[in-house]
Amino acid sequence: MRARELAREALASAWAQKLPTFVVVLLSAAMCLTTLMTVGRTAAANDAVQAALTGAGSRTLTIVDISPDGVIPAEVVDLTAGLSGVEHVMARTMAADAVNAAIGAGGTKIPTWAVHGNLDDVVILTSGRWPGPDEAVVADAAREVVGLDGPVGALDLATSSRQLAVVGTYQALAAYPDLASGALTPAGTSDQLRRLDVVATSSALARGTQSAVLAMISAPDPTKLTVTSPVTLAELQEQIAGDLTAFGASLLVLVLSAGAGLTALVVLADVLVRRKDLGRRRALGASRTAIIALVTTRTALPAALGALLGTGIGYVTALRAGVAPPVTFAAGTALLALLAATVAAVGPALLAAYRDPVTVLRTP
Amino acid sequence: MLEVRELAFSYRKGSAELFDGLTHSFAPGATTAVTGRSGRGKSTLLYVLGLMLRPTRGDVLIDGRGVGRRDDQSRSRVRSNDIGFVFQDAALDPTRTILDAVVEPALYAGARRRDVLPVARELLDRFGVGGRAGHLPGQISGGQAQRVAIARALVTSPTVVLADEPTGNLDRDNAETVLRALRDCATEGRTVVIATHDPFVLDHVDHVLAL
Repeated sequence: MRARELAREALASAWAQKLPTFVVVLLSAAMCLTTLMTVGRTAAANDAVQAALTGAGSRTLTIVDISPDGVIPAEVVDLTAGLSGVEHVMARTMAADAVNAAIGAGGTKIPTWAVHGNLDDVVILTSGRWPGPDEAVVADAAREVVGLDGPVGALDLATSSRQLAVVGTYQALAAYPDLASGALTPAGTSDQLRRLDVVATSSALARGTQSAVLAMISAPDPTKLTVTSPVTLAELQEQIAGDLTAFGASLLVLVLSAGAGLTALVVLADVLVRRKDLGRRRALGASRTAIIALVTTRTALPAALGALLGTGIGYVTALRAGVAPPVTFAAGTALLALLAATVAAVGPALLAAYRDPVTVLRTP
Repeated sequence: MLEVRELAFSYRKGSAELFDGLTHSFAPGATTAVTGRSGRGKSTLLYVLGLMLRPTRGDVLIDGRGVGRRDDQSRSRVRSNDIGFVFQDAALDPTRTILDAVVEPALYAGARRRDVLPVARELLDRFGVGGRAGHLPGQISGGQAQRVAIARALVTSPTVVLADEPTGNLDRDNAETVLRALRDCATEGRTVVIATHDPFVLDHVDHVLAL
């Protein structure tokens, strides 16, 4: 039997048997809807965890040397930047207070850091240009606080007689929220670097990167080093993600199994009710393969319609509730529901194909 | 030419065999009635000839080829191409039109629907039910339904037409029309075998095989 003719015959047969067809549509739609409203939420949560896991914030290792004369050598910073698992690295001095030079000592103070590393790894320049020696850029939020009209003027450092010309403004990246309230200037050779921020390329590499950096710093008194590590956070997030995945998978199997089981019952009932029709088809020359293909296609067509409807409604509902799963997940759900319904029809189809057509035809 | 050689069949292993090693040639271009008392296996013989039942012993031959003992796939292929079936109750799908019913066996034989439609319409016209092509089986009479069933049996141009009590549910006028249609099939060179217990049918066939 040709595929086109089979599809047409299956469609006509499905249309003729409206009740079982409607129930299959309903079951398939329910499978998708339930999956999207339960497993879909889990997938959305999993996605959020994964996003947090891959965000720079959860990959940042911060080392602060709190010893009185402790210094993180600039060479260590440069070597760290060369490690394969490191996305970027930045070292800075302890924050020094700075005021608007035009106002003087009575002005509002903002923290200012001398930085070793690429500034464009940690902030986005919003106006002006990147600073050179004895120049600074000011965070957008801090500019108003310190009383600067624009990326012009100067800052006086409270701890020294240095003055920094303001040449630009910036916005701090999400991983460096503390930089949003101050100003940055390039570190000179005399600046004592006290804090090192290392962003690993992935949370999985955080542990190895941490060991390598600590080994390079080789502090005489390691107890004076404060390490804020993403390792535990990464492990916790990975465990949560793993738990969510396992839970989602179990739920998905449960929903699909229940849907497939009910679909199998509906198709079985239909096959038993229409046994004479299937026997007649066999007598007219339909092979067993044709009967199996006919019964499964007759189930797959309404199941596809149901999957489409269920996924559409489920996705829109989840979207409105703010827990929309990824589009690929929704598409996968529709495909799995269709597959489950089709596979569920194979058993009854085999039964129909292997029943003796003569017995079926001669039984009133 | 349809033949059976040393044919025997039993529904269950160890139960009584039917046909007792029957050897018979059904003449092409003629109608043969298979008759006998109830339980002698008239319909069963038809189902064996139609390759829906596999003989326990012996074989069914079409044009000299042994086909009765082949596997199911092969017998289905032969059935869809070489054999036309007419059932006692016409056995038309109540949800499909008359035209769809006639086209159906050709689809199982691998034909395209659009290629078969003209043949199906021609057959319906020939048996006087062309005007009912778009009707459902419930909208035509029993005699018309049986003529549709004969048209359906001929749509693949089979060499053998098997009819199981085709006049069982019909009045004499309709029975005569159906028998005439079956005789027309035979005059085209086909082998027509009719299982019946109706003496009226015996008067209208060329040969009788008593079981």
